[in-house]
Amino acid sequence: MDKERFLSSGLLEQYVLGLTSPEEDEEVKRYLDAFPELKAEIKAMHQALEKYALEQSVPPPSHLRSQILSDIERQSLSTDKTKAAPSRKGVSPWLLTTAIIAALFFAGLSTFLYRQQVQSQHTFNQLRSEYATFKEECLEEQQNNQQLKALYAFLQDPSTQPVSLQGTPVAPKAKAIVYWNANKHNAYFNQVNLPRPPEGHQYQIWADVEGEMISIGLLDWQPGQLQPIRFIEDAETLNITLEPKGGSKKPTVERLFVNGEV
Amino acid sequence: MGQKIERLQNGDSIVVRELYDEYGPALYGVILKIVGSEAIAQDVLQDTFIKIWKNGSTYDPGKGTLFTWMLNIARNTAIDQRRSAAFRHHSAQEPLDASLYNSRLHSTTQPDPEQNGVRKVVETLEKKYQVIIELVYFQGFTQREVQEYLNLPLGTVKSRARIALRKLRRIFEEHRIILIVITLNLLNFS
Repeated sequence: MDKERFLSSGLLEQYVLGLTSPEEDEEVKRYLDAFPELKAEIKAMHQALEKYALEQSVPPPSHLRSQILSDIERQSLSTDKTKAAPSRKGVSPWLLTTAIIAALFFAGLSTFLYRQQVQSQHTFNQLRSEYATFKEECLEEQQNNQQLKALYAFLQDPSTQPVSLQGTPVAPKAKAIVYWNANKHNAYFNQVNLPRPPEGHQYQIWADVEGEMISIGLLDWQPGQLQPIRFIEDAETLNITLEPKGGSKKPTVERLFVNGEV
Repeated sequence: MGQKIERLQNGDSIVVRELYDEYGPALYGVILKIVGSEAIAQDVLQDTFIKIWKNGSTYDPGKGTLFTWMLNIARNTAIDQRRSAAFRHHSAQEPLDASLYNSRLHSTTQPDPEQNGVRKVVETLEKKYQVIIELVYFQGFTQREVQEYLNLPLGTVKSRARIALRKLRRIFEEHRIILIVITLNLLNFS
């Protein structure tokens, strides 16, 4: 068990956010048992989230306060939920004095140790967390970069052919472009101007192959983004229809929004 | 704080008033995000505080902070409300609109003008990380739900969640360390 590696893995953060699988939960629990000081980390994470939540406060309307409190008061009386307050025994004076002296002594001692500890621990934690963050961000950027490079190479490829899909009488202003590459069997879709689909509906793209409409797939409504779509051999035209969410087996011809020839 | 917890665990109704004043606005903010309607949010806040009071004895400080416990109650009550049939009749508003988050994600504009120019500490956190915390922590989304909702690969969701929480911690810790430094300086003089 390597505590430092565990801390930089980010599993603890996922755990606090409730994003762990049952197996990962088990692993976190093993580490918590082995290194009880990790509980302070969890507490610090909860506190950061708590402060975040407090920053997003919205004051409830003022009448609500008295309404809620009087409601609770009423229930408190009617259910007779009143419980006897826990009895308190008197504390003898000498015990109190000893306790105060001990407390002062330990307070002094901890301040001394704390001063030495705080600075180095803080620097270390900060560096560790920054390092882990940078590493993750780099990886994510690298992935993005690779995707963009692949996309760029695809668009630059001489055999990539832009297919312009024009609006039909249903939607005369609609327009979309599909980048179609018959050599590489690759295709991307760009919804240049498609209206936002109504609730419960979704666009579906079809290829006409020898008179038969074959579904290429469902499209997400994402303005300004290129989405990869399936390539269909020997497609003659490409057509986009509006279908109920989840798509249809056959295109609804009355709702053909755009089409174009390959 | 310890005393407050003990009083809550004993079913003290006065302590609820203190908790309401301290945390009511934060919980109301979260509830509002989930249900999207003020009228419903007020009902949910009321139910939430009744549950907090009635279930106070089940709170276990070993499992998390008091606020986290209360937030869970608020969130679950709000989510139940959103799922219930009554909600569908009650509200014409869509509480969740993916495009809202997506447009916020891709937006290059500065924070909303409605903030009156007051910049909160946490706005130093980039939008893409705010969104993750928002969905996971406030709205109680699972990993899979976030993945589908934001249309991101699982690995990215995980790493963004981790980064988001780390950054959040750092933002608030920088504030705290200033306090520590001041305290230490005072001790040096004494």
